[in-house]
Amino acid sequence: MTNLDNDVLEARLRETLRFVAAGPIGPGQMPAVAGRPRPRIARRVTAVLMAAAILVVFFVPLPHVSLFKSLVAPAKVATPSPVGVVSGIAALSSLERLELAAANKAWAGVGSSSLPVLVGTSVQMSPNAGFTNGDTKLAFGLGRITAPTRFPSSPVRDRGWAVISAERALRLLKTPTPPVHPVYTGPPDKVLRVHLGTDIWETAHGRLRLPAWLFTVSGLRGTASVLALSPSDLFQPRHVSEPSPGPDQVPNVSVGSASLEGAGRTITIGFVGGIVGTTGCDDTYKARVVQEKAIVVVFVVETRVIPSGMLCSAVGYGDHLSVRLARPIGSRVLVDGASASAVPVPRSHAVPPTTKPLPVVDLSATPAGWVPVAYGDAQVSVPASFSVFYPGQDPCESFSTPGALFVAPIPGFKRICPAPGHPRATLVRLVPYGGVPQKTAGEKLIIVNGVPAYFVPPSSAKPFISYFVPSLGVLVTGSGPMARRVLDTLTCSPRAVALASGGAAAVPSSWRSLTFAGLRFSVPASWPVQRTNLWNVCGPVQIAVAEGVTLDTDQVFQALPCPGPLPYAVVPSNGVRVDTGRSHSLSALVGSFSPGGTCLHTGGLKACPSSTPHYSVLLLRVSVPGRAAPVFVSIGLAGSGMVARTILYSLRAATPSEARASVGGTLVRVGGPAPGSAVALPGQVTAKNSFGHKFTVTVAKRGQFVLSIPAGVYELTGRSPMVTVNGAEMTCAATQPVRVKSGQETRGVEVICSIK
Amino acid sequence: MSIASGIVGASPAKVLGGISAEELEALYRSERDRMVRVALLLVGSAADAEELVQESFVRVARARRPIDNPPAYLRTTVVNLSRSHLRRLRVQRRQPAAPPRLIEDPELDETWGAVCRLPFRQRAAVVLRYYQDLSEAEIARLLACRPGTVKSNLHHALARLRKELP
Repeated sequence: MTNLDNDVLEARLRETLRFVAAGPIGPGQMPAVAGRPRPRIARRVTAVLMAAAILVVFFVPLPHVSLFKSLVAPAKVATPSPVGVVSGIAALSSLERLELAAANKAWAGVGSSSLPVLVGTSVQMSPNAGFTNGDTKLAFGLGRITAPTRFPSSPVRDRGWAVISAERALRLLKTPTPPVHPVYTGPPDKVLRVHLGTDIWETAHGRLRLPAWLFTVSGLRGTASVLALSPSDLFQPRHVSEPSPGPDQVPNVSVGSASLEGAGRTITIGFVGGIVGTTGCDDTYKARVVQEKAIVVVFVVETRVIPSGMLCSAVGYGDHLSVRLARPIGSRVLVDGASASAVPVPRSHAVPPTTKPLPVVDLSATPAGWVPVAYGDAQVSVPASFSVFYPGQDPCESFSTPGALFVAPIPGFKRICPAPGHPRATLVRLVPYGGVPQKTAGEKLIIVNGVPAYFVPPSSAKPFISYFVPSLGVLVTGSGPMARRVLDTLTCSPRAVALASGGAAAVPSSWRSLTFAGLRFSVPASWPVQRTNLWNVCGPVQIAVAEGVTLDTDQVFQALPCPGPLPYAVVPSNGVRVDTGRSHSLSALVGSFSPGGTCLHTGGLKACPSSTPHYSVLLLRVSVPGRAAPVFVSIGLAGSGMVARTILYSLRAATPSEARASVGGTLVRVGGPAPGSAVALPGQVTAKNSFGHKFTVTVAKRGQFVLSIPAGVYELTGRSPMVTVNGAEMTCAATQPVRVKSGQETRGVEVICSIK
Repeated sequence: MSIASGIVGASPAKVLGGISAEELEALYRSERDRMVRVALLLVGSAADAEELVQESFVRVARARRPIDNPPAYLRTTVVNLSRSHLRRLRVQRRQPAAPPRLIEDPELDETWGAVCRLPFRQRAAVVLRYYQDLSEAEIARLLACRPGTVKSNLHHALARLRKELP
């Protein structure tokens, strides 16, 4: 069966060949060859020189041997200038070449990933930690730790990072530390307190402050920390088996530590080796370095000289070697060639901010003529000719396009729908999926446009390819001729960028500020502003299809049928729509709004994003101080998502002068001795809105007051020194809440002190 | 120190059979990396590619007759040595060398795997056409065959790839 047309195949070939040929190659050395056999005289001279060299090595006094060694042996830390070997692939032994290949395989994709690379274990003690006695230490090491009666509730995210639960953290804490003591029968330790905080962790890029579950355990002074990051938010090198040395090959020494000097170009590596510099048992060590694009692989080569008949001590000695790189190590990971594992390199910029780096939408992942379609934090692109079925649309609707994308369709829809009309259609599904596939699925970790994903190839049982993407919470599957191409456009969505934790985006000076419905926000100055007072029940479907600003007062009902979602991809656009909320309160399409921790608190506002993750629109319900009803803000999600993020973070409550209204009336006393008519009182009147904000005004003898306050619904109370109960001023109140509208004056409100 | 001074018994100006030391040095500087990449595509191993290119330069340096077009001569040598190398490997292993897992992009991975399974003439034609961007006539000269044969090799290679790739 022929699937590819010539152009596609040729383009794919060119790309593949370019990619493969761009792999690392050694620096090369001009071949030292003679055009003809060397003259005899030259050979004689060479022989004489070699003999002289041998004589020098064997017969000069010991100090000179040391000098000779210092020229050929590695540079020690004490050596003034580092002379470690910077080598290319060509200088490696066959074992080292295998180890280099293993290191490259293990660390593939690390260059394009912004996730931290943990070095060492995910459990650590605070610097001041210590055990009260031997039993508590044994119990801790064996994992004999009793869980607390109640675990704290675990957020899904912390500072933008996906985090594990406290229960799971305790399971990690309870993993026994080898060597295991088999006969401990003493009492277990007990978790006294556990809470989510932060701790400093060694990563391949230096020390980072990251979320951690902090355990206070009986018998342990200080705390034990468990890294709280979910595995999906950690870069994990692939497991590779270490190449076995041949019978005549000596395995290299593992690198244990490293430090950085010389503007990041000189690395001093620490390792444990044998004794160096003795006349009998003598080991020499040499470093070889291969600099790849994203990793720097270092080998420590041991040469052991044991004269026959001599016994040598097997004592290990800490040793150091310095190597100088062609360019600073930068963000590259230092990898121990012998084990393919990362070596921590303390950088000067220790402990940077704890928030997760802002995700990036890879705009280059969308080919020309294709349209990005987002769902939640994920986005794939499809050719503009594809059908796109959004949630709520009938997935069985027939289509004649060359392919279709089903966004969060109902489970099992393929079984209930007839076969698509197009015989060789490409079918792609983008569905929410939080987990990682089972290990038995034969998946492999790949990096797609910087996003780690588990690739599962098609099988006879499942004839489609799958990308499990836990970091974006989706599963993408595809079948048909273009499935792979569509899946390889996977990247994070503009929504993920807009809602990511982190600092507020700076508003460009060229933008302008708009005020509407108690809100102030910034938009590009070139955006047109449209005002309307119509509303219907169509929800966000019509939002932000055109670039610009729509301000809607929702006053006149528009009795028109709602347009259904179109069965093709709509190109996302930037835009803002602000309305006073009637349409949304009636629309079933907006989903629910985050009630808890995922709401944003910005500019004195509380903005809760809709759980509806599609349509490339970010819909927010915004509580505005001084307004009884929420305001709905819809922000178009296009491109990199940074425009939407900037608009979102520019949202703030309008200043009082922009949304002030006034309420006026009289503080009066009623009741009392006949005739009990109302009597104006001096004193104070306070207006309190639904957010708890209070506004107070002093009332003169005539009892009249005017309060200038933001629009909203208020309860008015008052008190007067003229009306007391048991010596204290009585609380007086208006008979019902007062609605104060923006820009309007509300008069005639009576705040009544009712006495018997 | 000039690169060519590493050649024993040859001053930079001295003629080494078919090519002067200066020409060899210039050729090495301009073509070495490029040829390693071509050889890498032909034999699938960076280490082997480097050795083959090194050997090719040795052959160029030892050529007895004057070389009119050193880059073309070098390229032909690289292609011929690559073919010999693969043949030797086949004899040794009695099976084609498995392509190394160089790529993590599944599509490129598959494409590269399929290229590595092509017979040498087809693979060489594909590499020279789509990586080196040589014309069919140039490829024919390089592979010592007729342009029609190159066309036929390319046609069969593409047909086979089309069949193998999804």
